[in-house]
Amino acid sequence: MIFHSLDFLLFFLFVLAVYWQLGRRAQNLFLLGMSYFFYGYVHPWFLYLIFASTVVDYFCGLTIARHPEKKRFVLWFSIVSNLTFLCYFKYFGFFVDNVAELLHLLGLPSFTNTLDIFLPVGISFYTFQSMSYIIDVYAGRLKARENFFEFALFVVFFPQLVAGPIERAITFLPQIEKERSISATDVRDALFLLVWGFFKKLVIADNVAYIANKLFALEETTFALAWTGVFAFGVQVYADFSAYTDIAHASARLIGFKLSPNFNHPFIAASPAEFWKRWHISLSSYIQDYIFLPLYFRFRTRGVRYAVEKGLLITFFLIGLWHGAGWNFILFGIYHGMLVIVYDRCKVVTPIGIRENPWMRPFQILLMFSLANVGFLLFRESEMDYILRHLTLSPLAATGELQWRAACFLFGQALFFSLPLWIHTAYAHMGHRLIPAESWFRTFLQVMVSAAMFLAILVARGDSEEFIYFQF
Amino acid sequence: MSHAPHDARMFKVLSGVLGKSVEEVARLAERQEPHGESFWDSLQHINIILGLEAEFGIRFELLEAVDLKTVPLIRAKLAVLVR
Repeated sequence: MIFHSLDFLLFFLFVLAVYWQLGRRAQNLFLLGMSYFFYGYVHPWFLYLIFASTVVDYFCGLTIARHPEKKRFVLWFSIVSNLTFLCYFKYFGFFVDNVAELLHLLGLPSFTNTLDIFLPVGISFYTFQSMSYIIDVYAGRLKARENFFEFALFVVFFPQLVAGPIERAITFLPQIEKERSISATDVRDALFLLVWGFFKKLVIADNVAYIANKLFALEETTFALAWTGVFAFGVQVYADFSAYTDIAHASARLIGFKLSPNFNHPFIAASPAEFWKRWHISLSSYIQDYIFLPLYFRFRTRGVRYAVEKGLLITFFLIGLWHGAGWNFILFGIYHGMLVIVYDRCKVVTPIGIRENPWMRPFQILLMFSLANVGFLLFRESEMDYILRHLTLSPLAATGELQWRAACFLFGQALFFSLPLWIHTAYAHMGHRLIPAESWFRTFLQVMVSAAMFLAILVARGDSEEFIYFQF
Repeated sequence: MSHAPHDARMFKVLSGVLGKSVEEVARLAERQEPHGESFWDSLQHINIILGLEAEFGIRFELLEAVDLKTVPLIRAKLAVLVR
């Protein structure tokens, strides 16, 4: 079930109407049932997979608690089972394609991949989420849960099931286990976030998607047109993914839960490391704790720089691979890993007066934004020929007047649609401090802005596209 | 603001690594929420671990290092590890 559908609206109203009439235990059982309904709505067989994953991790958790001497074996059993599901559905087709291609290149008898494996929505998200439970139980940071239904709700909780944020068992399970309440401020803020999320998806992301799709589909292009397309896609992917996150946050809040942050205005990052501290925060913090730090500690005996850089490259390779089974995603990850390493090395030789000078920050942000756009090109374009074409286009090459005008017009349009994102960033950094959270003026402002956004959704929504991160 | 025995040395390390004044670091010590600071990224996390290890002559294990997410958590860990 997708958020921007009438089905979801009716489903969620029904959930709200029943949920707040129940006690905590009944609320949990009801949410569990509704979450399974939500996930199995389009493809009921998805449920077998998520249920299998839940059962495996539930019993692995209990086994670790009851038989600590076997905990290492059980941890690996759980990780291998989870990753087997993930790899089969997400990467097996990609692997077979590449083997066939390799055989062909070597002049050996090859074959055509006739496998058509359907990727279950959200598998990358809930697999990571479920693994966090087992790793934390293994590490002794979390007690294994006896209540199967509460653990199952943690895995399948519908607001963030399909595209995150990736919740940690250590922060989310305690919320399931305590009484929930909701205040008038919660309702006000959640409703505002809901409208803001739908506005970002339907007005910003879907409209700039139209520009990006057209420009990426051009057979003949120019520097200005090609990079306008990349800029539009960058705005699209941020608006689209953060919209999903906002709707997830708002829905969770309306049933008394608080989800982890996932975005913190990534386009004002001044370095690649800061970008990943602001972009898809639940994934980057997960990767930091469960992959990067263990790698660093594994390699640290061979020197700090070696450990950090090797750890970063492996980590970002995995971030790329997590996003999708394609060489462009792997390149996307390695590219960002290299950026972090290069920036870190430059930091050592850049005087602190330049590095930390607030007057330099706008230039640093602009540079990082440009570099992030190269990353978005790799994220979007799966054909290597097209990627190379974009990267080798010269800004100085002669451009027809018509193409130049078209590029300026489309760039202006993309900029116009992205304007609310920039205003939101400015407000978050300045206006937020001026208007107290509990003030009547904040409520008045939210009502007015919500009304304007609602109107914009009615008159200016783009052709509805599926959320980009649903494919992961 | 509470003043744990190792605060001054801890603040000095954090201030050097994060590029913030000691007063700003002391303000961070009041906050409990992890992952909130955009300047506290993975590389800074490693630098903090290295700085604290050098300053206090200790060596963190992986599981300890993962938990050093906030100034209060670092303070609590130092209270256990540094005698």
